This record gives sequence, C-alpha cells and structure tokens, in this order.
Amino acid sequence: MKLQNGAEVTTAPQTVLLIEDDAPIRARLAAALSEHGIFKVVQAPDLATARAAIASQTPDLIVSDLKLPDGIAIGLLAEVREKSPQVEILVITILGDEATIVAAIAAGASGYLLKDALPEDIHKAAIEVMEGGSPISPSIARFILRRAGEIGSVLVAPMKPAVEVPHLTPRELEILWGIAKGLSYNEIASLLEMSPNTVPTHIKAIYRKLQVGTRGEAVYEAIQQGLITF
Amino acid sequence: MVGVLAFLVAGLLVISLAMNLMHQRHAHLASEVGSMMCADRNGPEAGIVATVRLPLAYSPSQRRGSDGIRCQFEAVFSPEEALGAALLIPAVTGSMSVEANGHPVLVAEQYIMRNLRFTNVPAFVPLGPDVLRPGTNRFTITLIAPPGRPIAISPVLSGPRAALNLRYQARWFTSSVLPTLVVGGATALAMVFGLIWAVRRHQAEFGWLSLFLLLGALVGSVLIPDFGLGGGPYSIWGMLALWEAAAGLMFMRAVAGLPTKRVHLWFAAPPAVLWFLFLANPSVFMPNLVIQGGVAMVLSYSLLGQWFLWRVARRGNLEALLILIGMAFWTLFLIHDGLSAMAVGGNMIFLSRSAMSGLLVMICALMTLRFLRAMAQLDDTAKTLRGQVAYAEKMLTESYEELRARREAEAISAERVRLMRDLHDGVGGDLASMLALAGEVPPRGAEIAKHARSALVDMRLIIGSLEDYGGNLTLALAAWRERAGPQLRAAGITLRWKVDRLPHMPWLGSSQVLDILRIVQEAVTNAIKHAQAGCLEVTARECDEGIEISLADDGVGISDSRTGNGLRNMASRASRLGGRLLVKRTEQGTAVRLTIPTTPPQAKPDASMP
Repeated sequence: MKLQNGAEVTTAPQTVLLIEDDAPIRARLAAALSEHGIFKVVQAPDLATARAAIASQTPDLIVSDLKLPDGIAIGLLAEVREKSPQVEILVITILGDEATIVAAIAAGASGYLLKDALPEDIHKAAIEVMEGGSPISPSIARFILRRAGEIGSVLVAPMKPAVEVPHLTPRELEILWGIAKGLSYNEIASLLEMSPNTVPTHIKAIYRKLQVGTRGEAVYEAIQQGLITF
Repeated sequence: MVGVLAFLVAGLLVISLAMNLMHQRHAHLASEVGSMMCADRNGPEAGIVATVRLPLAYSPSQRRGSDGIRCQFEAVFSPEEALGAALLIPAVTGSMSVEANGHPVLVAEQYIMRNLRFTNVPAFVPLGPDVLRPGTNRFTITLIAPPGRPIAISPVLSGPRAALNLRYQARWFTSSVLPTLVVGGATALAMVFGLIWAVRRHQAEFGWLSLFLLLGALVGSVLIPDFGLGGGPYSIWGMLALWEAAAGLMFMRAVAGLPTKRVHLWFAAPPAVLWFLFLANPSVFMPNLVIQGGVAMVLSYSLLGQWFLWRVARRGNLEALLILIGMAFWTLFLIHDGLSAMAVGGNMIFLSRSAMSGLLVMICALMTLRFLRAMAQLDDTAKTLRGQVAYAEKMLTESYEELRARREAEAISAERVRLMRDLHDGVGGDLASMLALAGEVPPRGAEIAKHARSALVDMRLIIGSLEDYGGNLTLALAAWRERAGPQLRAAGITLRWKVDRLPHMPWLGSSQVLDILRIVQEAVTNAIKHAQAGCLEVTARECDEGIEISLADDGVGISDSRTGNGLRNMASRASRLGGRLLVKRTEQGTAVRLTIPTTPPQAKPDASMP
C-alpha cells in the first residue's frame, strides 16, 4: 500500500463517521483519525446513532465495523453509497480474512482497516481513500483472481458468489497478479511496460467493475445464514 | 451373403416347382410312347434287335463295331393334332437325329457336360403339317454314342406342341439351369464355410460342409476341363462323388455333435477302394461294379448320416432336423437316379444334381438360423453385460461415495487436529501468558499487550494460511507482507522485498503455508525483539535444492547459544516441510535461511504434535 505523503488537504476538515461498538477500539480509531486535524470524527456506537448522524450531516468518509449491536452495517452503508456516491467507506476488521473482504466490497467499501493497525497507518489509509487512492490490496486482488478461477480451484470457493466477478481484460488480470504478488505500482508498470500513471486508472476500472457486480443483499443473506461470520 | 443365396435358391426352387406343376396339368394331353422297335445301327450282328421298353440304356459294343441304335415307333394324330404337334424326349444321352415319315426333323449333338454320366438333357421336336399326316405317323430315332460311352433315352411323349413345350422348358430348367446354379451356389457356399471353418476350427461341421460342397461342385462343374483323364466311359471327376458322400457323412456326424476320431478314417476306405478300382481298370467289366458299388456306397453313407441326424433330431435338435430333411430330400433323388443308373427301374431322367438345390436351401436355412441365434445371443450378452456394467458402476459409485465421505471425514479430522495444534502453539500460549500476567499485582500491561499482539498476529497467520494460494508461494508471501509491513514499520525497520518468480508448488497446502509463514514470522519477531535492526531484507528465489527464503537483518546478530524455544520450533517446522533451516550470525547481523524442496517430503511422524 503506497502512501502518498505530503498531499494533505489543507482546506476545511472532512467529516468522518466512525461506527464501532467497542468503546476502547472506537476511542483508539478516533484518536488516530483526528490526528493532524484533517478529519472531524463523529462517533457512533450502533446503527441507530449512525443513521441519525448521517441524517443530520452526510459524512465524507465512513469507517465502520460490520457487525453492530443493532444489526449489520451493510444495508446502511449501501444505502448511503447509493444516495451519495461520493461518500468513501472503509470497513473495520479484526483479521482481514476473505469473508470480511467480500462483505466490504458488498458494502461498497474502498478498503478495510485492521482494528489493531498503527495509528499512522489508520490515518494514512483514510487520507489515501479520500484522495481516490488504491482501493485494491493484495488480499482483494487475490480474492478477485481466485473468483476468476486464476488461483486454485474454483470448486473450493468457500461460498456462493455474493460478489460476481466481472469480466476482466488480460491486462487487468496481469495488473491484479502484480498486486497479489505484492509488487508496487512502479514495479507493475515496468514489468508490463506501461506508464506508472496508467496503473491506478486500470485499478479503478477493475474496482468499478467489481462494485457493479456486488450484490449487497446476497452478502447480507450470507451473513444472516452464518456463511459469513465476523 | 448366405441369406441372399438361400433366398435365391429358394426362389428358383419355387419357380421350378411351379413349372413342374404346370406341365403336370397338361400331361393328360400328351401320350407316352412306352416301347420302340430298336436295332443296332450297324446291323443285327452288332447288337439288339428287339422291341424295347423305355427307358432304354444301352452301351454299344465297340468290339462288335457298334456305335448306336435306330429305333422306330408310330404315333397317331388326328387332322387337327397334325397341325401343331410335337415330340418331347425328356431325357436323352448321346447324339440324336429324328425323322418323321422319312423327313429329318431334328439333328441334335448333345454336349455331354464334363462327361457327367448321370445327367441328361431333354429334346423337343416340333412337328408341322409338312411332315405329319393325319392318322398313323412313323418316327425314327437314331442315337449315336460317343466312342465308348453309353446311350440312354427316356419314354418319348407325343402330343400338342404348346403343352409339350411347357413341359420341355420345365425339363430344360431342371436339367440344365438348376444344376449350373447349384454348382455356383455350392462353390460360393463352400468358400464361405471354408473361411468360417478357417477361423473357427472347433466347428468341424463347417469344414466338412465346405469339403462336401466343394466336391459336389467339382463333380458337377464345368469349370475344370477333363484333361483327357476320363478317356473311358466314366469321368474321373464323376468319381469324386464318392468322396463327396464321405465328406457328407462326416458333415452329418458333426452336425449331430459326434466327435471326429482317428477311427473314422475307415469311412475313407470304401471310396478309396472304389477310386483305386476305377483308376486301375476303368474299362470293360469294372465299370458296372464300380458304378454299382459307388451308388450303393453313396446311398448307404447318406442313410447312415441321416440316421445320426435322426437320433439327435428326435431329441429336438432343430439344426439336425433341417439338415436331415434336406438330406432325405436329396437321397430320394439319389435313389431314383441310382435305380435308373443300375437300370433297375426309373425313367433315365437324372435329377439328383438339381435336387441338391433343396439341400442347399436347407443348409442356408440352417446357417441363417445359426446366424439369428448368434445375434440373439449377442443381444442377450450385450443386455447382460449392460446390466452388469450398470451394477458395477452403481457399486463403484457407492464405494466411491463411501470413500469420498471417508476421505472427507479424514481430511476434516486432520484439519481439526492441525487447527487445534496451531491454536495451541500460538494463540493458546499467548492467552495463557496474558492471563498469568493479568493476575499479577499490578498487572503487567506492556507484556499483556505484547502477547495480545502476538496472538493476533498468529491468528492472522492461521487465517491467512487457510486461503487457497494454489501452490503459489509468492502470493502467500505477499499476503504475509501485507500484515508484516505495519509491524516492521512500527518497529522502525525498513523492509526490503526481493521475491523472485517462484516455481509452482501444488503440494503446499494450508499446513505447509502456515509452517513457512510461521518460520518467516518468527524470524521477523526475533528481528524486532532482539536485533535492534534498521533494515530487514526478505529474499525468496529458486535454488538447486528447491526454493530458498532468507531473511537478513543488519542488527546485532544472534547469540551463539541457540537454545531458544522459537528457534527450536522453526527448525522442527522446517524439517516437517522436508527442508532445512540455517540461522547464523553474519557480519551485518542475523541471517535466517530456509530451504524447501519443490516436491513434497516423505511422510514423517509429526514431532511437534501437542
């Protein structure tokens, strides 16, 4: 994950809605996000509070746990995203496993945060996502490649495709492979003999395709049936 | 092919039968000349002068300069009849000329087919008003024998031309056309059955049948010239009929299911003796003995064979019954011909060669029957086989399902054991430590946090290892890097990543990936904990022994006393992978090098089971 240092926005602070039921973790995340004064953090311990907060002011970024005392956040996140597509979403996860990634994509998230991530990493991730930076981590790349039948056996895919794998061009698949192997954008660009600037363009195209194929309801169902656990 | 022949022959038989019936219907219109006044052509001293009853068989005496006879008879025609009458001589052997009231009306040179003695052809003499007169008419028939051969004539018919013409055509068909067809059919069938026998030696009946038909075809065949061997009155080829009868007997025995043994060579003795007598002295006095002996032998062989057939046909052997019917049919004609030949009775019209068509039909019917039976058997076999295959398939599927279920259960069980062990090794230990630390007064927060972090890291390793990397270690390492990056960054260590294109290793399952990641993670943890390093370089590449993953830091270097729990665990994991682990102090710091073969190690007892 490349961070674009020094590109900090100096205008009015952006609003972050932090939805997390565990108070210490919420406090830790809030502290990490409000550092440097770039973000104004609004905290919500449950969906009801979050809904009220969104009603009063649409945030620029939502950082949300998926499982909350009064339900699963996916519905709300998808709703917000539909109403205000400019809102960016980061999902909070403990393990960063595939189930979470499916859910995050279903929620329209651009990425995820580990609950124990370093404060600076949390902050950087938030900035990056606000700048429209890389939404695809190696885990997401692996996930897409696996679903596209590029890795391992499709038969062992753990659940029915709640996220439909879009049709990807050979070039896009090559880029995904590069990301999955942990290569940087520059390395991918030189390997594929292309301009480093075009790599993010491709990645955004991939992600758009992926989100178009996302079916929030299917993930919601899978979570309800216990196929996806948090 | 056999079926087609059968239909052909059957069709011809039906036609001939129909024609015979037709001429029988008109028979009453004709009158038979039963006797003639005959004299030897060369004068009374050369031979007979008598009123002879027809049929007549006569061997002109060469010694006395005789070569034929002249016979006279009278026939009465009404004026109407005289307008369109005819003579029909159903069977005649020799050259013949006919005069009506002194006018020559027919000169016929008979082509004696291949010197066959027991065959003859009809002659038809149309008579018009130019030669006939109402009332009594005098006819003279002159028969001339080829040198040294007999002449024969059957009773002569006189009557309306139309009726006799029909009868003539029927006779012509049975005496000329049918035998030729029989020869053709028998030759073809002999070849077919010979081929069948060549590939199915255990079915002796095909071999004998082939021989029987072949010999029969040779006897009646115009295919082989005489080579002058039959210089005498009897053809050497005609004598093959004896062997034909012997082959026929063996054929009937085989159909009856009787085995062929050495003792049956005796069946070859009579034809051999007769053959010898014929060759030794084919002239004067022998012929009658040989002919009579031959006819007797053929008849007795045929009857013996039929007796064999009858014994099994009685017990319901349909094949034997069919052959028996054909043989009996043929034998009747053989007896008829035999009697004529031995001048005991009959009309000198030889029919056995034509009658053989009936036998051929039976043989064809038999073979068709066999074919149909074989087809039915084949169908049955196919059905049975299909059933068996379906059953076997079902059993196989069931046992496969069973096996799969067991495999699945085993795999799940093995996975459960592995997860338990993994949790025990990592998270379990950390949690226990955390409990102990929390119980102290005051609780040691920093250490609890350390263990919590370690537990979380290990948990993620386990989760990460459960992903399907499809044998691509580069992906697994990249996934690990995603997690280790922040840890190293937090410790102020720069990560240098040099992972080359690694070979595909499908044997790397979750368990192996976890072992590798734990070794790597342990090395990182050590570097963070003890090394005070500024930089960690992770290299993975293909080497001679397989692949090599090395982690080198620029820290203080590992102490020489390598007794740490962590190191021991790393080594045991490495050996479980069939690889080697080398941890050493370098000039720069510490280097951990793990070598893993590209192929899976032999199963070893798991030393690190809890």
